[in-house]
Amino acid sequence: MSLAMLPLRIATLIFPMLVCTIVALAAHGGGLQNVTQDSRGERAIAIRRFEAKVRPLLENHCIPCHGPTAAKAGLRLDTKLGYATPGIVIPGNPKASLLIQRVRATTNQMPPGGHLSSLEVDALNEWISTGAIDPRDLKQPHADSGKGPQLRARPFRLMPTDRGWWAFQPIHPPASGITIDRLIAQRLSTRGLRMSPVATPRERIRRAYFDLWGIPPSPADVTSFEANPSAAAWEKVIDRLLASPHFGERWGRHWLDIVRYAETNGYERDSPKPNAWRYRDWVIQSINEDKPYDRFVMEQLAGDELPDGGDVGLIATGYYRLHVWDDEPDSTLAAEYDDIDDIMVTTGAAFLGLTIGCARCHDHKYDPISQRDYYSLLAFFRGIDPYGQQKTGGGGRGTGNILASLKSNPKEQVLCVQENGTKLRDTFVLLRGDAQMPAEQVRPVVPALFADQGNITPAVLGPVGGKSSGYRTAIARWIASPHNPLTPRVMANRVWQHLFGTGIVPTPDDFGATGILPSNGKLLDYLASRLVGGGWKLKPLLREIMTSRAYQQMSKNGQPLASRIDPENRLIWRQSLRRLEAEAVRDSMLCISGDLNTNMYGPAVFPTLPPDLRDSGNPANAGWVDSTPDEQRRRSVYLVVKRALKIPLLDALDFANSTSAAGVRPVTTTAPQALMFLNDTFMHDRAAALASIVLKESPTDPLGGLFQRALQRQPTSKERAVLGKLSKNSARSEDFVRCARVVLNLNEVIYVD
Amino acid sequence: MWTKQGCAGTTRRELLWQMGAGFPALALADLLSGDGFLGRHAAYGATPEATKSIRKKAKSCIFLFMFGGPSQVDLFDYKPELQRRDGQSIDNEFRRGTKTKAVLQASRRTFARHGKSGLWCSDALPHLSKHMDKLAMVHSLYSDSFAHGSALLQMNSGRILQGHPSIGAWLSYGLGTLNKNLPDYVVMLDPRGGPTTGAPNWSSGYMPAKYQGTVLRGEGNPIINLTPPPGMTKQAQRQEIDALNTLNRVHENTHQGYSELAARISGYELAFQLQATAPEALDLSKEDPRTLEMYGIGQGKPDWHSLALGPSPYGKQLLTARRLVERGVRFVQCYSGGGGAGGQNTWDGHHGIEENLRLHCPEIDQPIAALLTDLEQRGLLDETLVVWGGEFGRMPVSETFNTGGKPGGRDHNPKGFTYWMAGAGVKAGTAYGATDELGEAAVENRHHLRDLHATILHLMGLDHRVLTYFHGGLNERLTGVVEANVITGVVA
Repeated sequence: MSLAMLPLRIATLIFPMLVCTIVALAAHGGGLQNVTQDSRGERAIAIRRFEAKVRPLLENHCIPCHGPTAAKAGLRLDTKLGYATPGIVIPGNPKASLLIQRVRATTNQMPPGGHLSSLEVDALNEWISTGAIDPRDLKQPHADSGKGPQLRARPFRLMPTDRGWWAFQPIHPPASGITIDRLIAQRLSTRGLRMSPVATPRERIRRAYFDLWGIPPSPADVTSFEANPSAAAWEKVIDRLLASPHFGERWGRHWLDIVRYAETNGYERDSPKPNAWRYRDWVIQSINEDKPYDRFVMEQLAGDELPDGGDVGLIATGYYRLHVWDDEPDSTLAAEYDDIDDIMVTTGAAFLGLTIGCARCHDHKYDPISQRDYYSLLAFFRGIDPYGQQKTGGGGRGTGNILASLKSNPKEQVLCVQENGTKLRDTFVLLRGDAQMPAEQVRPVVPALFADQGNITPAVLGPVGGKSSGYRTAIARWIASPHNPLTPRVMANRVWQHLFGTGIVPTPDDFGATGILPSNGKLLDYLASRLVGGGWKLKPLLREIMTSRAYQQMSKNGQPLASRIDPENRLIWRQSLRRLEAEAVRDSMLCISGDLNTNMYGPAVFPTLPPDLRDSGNPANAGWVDSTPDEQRRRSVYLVVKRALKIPLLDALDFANSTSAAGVRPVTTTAPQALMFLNDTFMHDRAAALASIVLKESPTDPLGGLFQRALQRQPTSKERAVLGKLSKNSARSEDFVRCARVVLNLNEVIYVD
Repeated sequence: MWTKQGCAGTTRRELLWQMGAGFPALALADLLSGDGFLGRHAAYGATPEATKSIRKKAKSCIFLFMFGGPSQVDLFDYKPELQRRDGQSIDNEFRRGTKTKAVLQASRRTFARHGKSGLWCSDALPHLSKHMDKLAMVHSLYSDSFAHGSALLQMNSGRILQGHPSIGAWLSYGLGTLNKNLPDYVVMLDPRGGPTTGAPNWSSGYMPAKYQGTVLRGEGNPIINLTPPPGMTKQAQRQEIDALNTLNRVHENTHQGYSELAARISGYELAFQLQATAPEALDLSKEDPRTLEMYGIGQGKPDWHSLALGPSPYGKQLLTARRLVERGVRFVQCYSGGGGAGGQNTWDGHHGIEENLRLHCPEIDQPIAALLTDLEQRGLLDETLVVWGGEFGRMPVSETFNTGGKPGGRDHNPKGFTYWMAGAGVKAGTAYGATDELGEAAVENRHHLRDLHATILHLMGLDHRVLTYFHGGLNERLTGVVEANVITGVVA
């Protein structure tokens, strides 16, 4: 069939069938809108597609007349609300959508000046047929909204408006008497919405446990909270959870995602990063002792230079050693810059929410960061000797000497940063990022955008102790300054994200023009102010958020109006049902089956791999010595992170990519996951252990005991009936293990209200 | 990985709608057309004009990866001047920026022209030489790294730096699935082991993990966790899944608007089906014995060398690959050579190129010839793209570093090497581009390997400029930020 015939065939044959499908779907369950509400990873892809294909064409062709300046026919395409009138865009049904009809019309076609290209029509069609996901803010259209990332004019020049970008403005201090709940309620009321009811005590205490510890509460914990779900009891629960070392194990892992923590170098040999686990333990410990976040930043960037840094500071600088490292690169000179670039990109994303790496080869195309700014920032790090490379000169790839002895115990070695003296090496702007093409020489200064904001210019220190230049201390001070507009916002947003599923800024590593705008800027500034005002401590901030009404809302979609206006819940009219991360799934399974070994810290644990992986000849297998069975039951944060060989169980559940800063993990739902849950030895071992412990604990009502352990509630009569059929004689462990297996596989176990 | 979001409904079309939400809608168009429902549609991002020029769009790609770096001057890139100047000394760039004196080493192979096209092929590949009229040779590729690790990553992901999605992940992301019961992207390894750097070669990088390659294993469980542990029968598992589904649906009904719950329910269904469909797809026992024989399956290991395998293992890989593309798998990568680089267990012929060719050429020759014949006979060659090559080529000079001073080895060479393609959209019987008179560096119609990637995407109906993924503030492409061009000289 020729392409030319296609439209006709679509129109005559397919269209009526699709309409039927849509009707059928709309009648089924939540309708199409819900069908497209897939997991966060899927959504992220849909948003990317929108940004790449749809937003540009709307801006080029439509928004000039249907936007903030004109809004002809009352239609605006610069925000979601602007086309909310029924019929204009019908998610899932491009044919019936007025927007498509008008761009395809033969008379009075839109845009009036000229036809959209077939590529553009296809893009619109695709966008609507896949649910019309539109990430643009829901707020009332105003002059500035709806502008996607705008390409900067060339040559690069700082504009007065650059300072006006929301994330670069000073953090607005909150008005007195303001609270999280007020800020959310205000935002909701502008849309005629309100918060959802408070979740049940059981839902709330489970949410708190999973959010702070990553494992479920004990049945007794739930029962006692249910008996007295007062505000005071709730605060006590939160305080207890925050005080436990499990908190650091859970939240430390969030940080490890951002710094792309791994214990090997990747590439051909995937050689180990010796003692990398000390850095992992430093993260966990720092979070548990509620180390102020500014100090947390300082130690990682310059712990070796701090007068009071000590061994702890030295260990923290393991931060500089976590990147992938090619021991046999094509060009050692280029590779040296690749290493520093990796550190720059991660530092920008982790602490500042900036995509600095975009300016390595040319001026940033969207954000006010020039290539000169990039190399001026790089200059701060020019003292670093990646893997001892400077000592071997240009030819070799380094001595690999990246360890230093601890002062407290010279026998103990630690992975840490290293400079070879007090002098920084010269830094040049590299044309097109090519190390062979040095141009203008630069000094270590912060990006020009921030240069004249007086108190945030780093006071460059003198050389520190003769061993290093002191410049990393300088840049660390600038980043960790309470006046830096980015650092507190970025961290406050991360905290929010891990308590609500999505950040106020949904792109936590990108607060620039290519990121997504905050859904509630006042709320973000409030949280950032509270973080800094509270001495940069995370625990009080978490406590304040978790005691808010907003956090305690139910996750169910109980408000039809809100579901329609804000299906993505960006205004926080409810909590969000969330799937546990890979580690929390594994840890919960171990906890439920009574197997969790809660020992903390130390060298990585090597779990037994499926036999098929063991002998695949992968060099990554070399040196893999299974830990003892007891060790293998420890929390997942202690499992080895090898770049060439991810642990299949964690990998299947979207474990961190471990090569680039990843503030958000995708959440995918796949058949291999189900295969893992159904067939993996780990799951069968858990089911067997669970069955046997329940039969011992609750011999009179094993099903009751099973549900208590797994879900901290009694089974319903339906659940008893269904599982009763599966296990004729529930006292027999061979039969009962089947019930245990089914229960461990329940959605309710890994999706938390 | 395979199966995007699953479905709550039951009809195929509902499933398609929901899956369409998960990846570019071209995939949806393709799915519908795969259903005989929509007919061929313009490729994602390609204008109708651009699509017209692609007369035959490949549905699937089989990438024959010669890990270690096969020697172009001993196989396809005939250089009379090299043959003539055997033993002469030249200045050779052995690693980037370092010139050393080295001795030219002529090929010990005999070259001849074959078929109507008259393409050159040496006697190292007697079976394949009968199929030269199906091939399009690119003799003038170059890339950026002399070292296996980064060169493998570049051949697979476009970058010498680790952490980027591999080409199979890009195809899976860009084209979506044709068979929800199988992975989109399958990798098969040499029985001697995987390639250097391991899983990052088939990683999805910063994309979701479901786009990464699934390794199929030749022995035991082909896919991790594909079969239940001993003692669990199919029937017993069915009962458990039924119970699970019943209870999960009750939970789902109390959580309107969270479609991932339905997706996970259908994930269990698909997983259960997979346990039957995947082994069926991989079961070679139902194949005609003549087919098995054609691929060299069942031939024993040669006894002249402890590392020699003969054609049987690669034959099994390629026959499996044919069965997979028949069933709609998008990208199948078949590695020849495995275990660590540097030894004769891969195409890394430092220790003696002749021994290396004698080991590896017979392992792939008959299977590849059989694959081309088989695909053609089944009418699959028109919709399957076959690509052959390694992470780089080899030097025309002798390497003595690893041979105890005796001549005979060849070192890595990313400056000029050969790839060939066959099948859908390929201009068959073409030799394109050239290296210098010694076969050392690409000089005529030079193409960086990003152009090879652009060409593969093009033949699969995708435009490398348009297929982007937003990451770290940038619309990332497989071909990177430097402009890439389709190698039109090999496109029909």
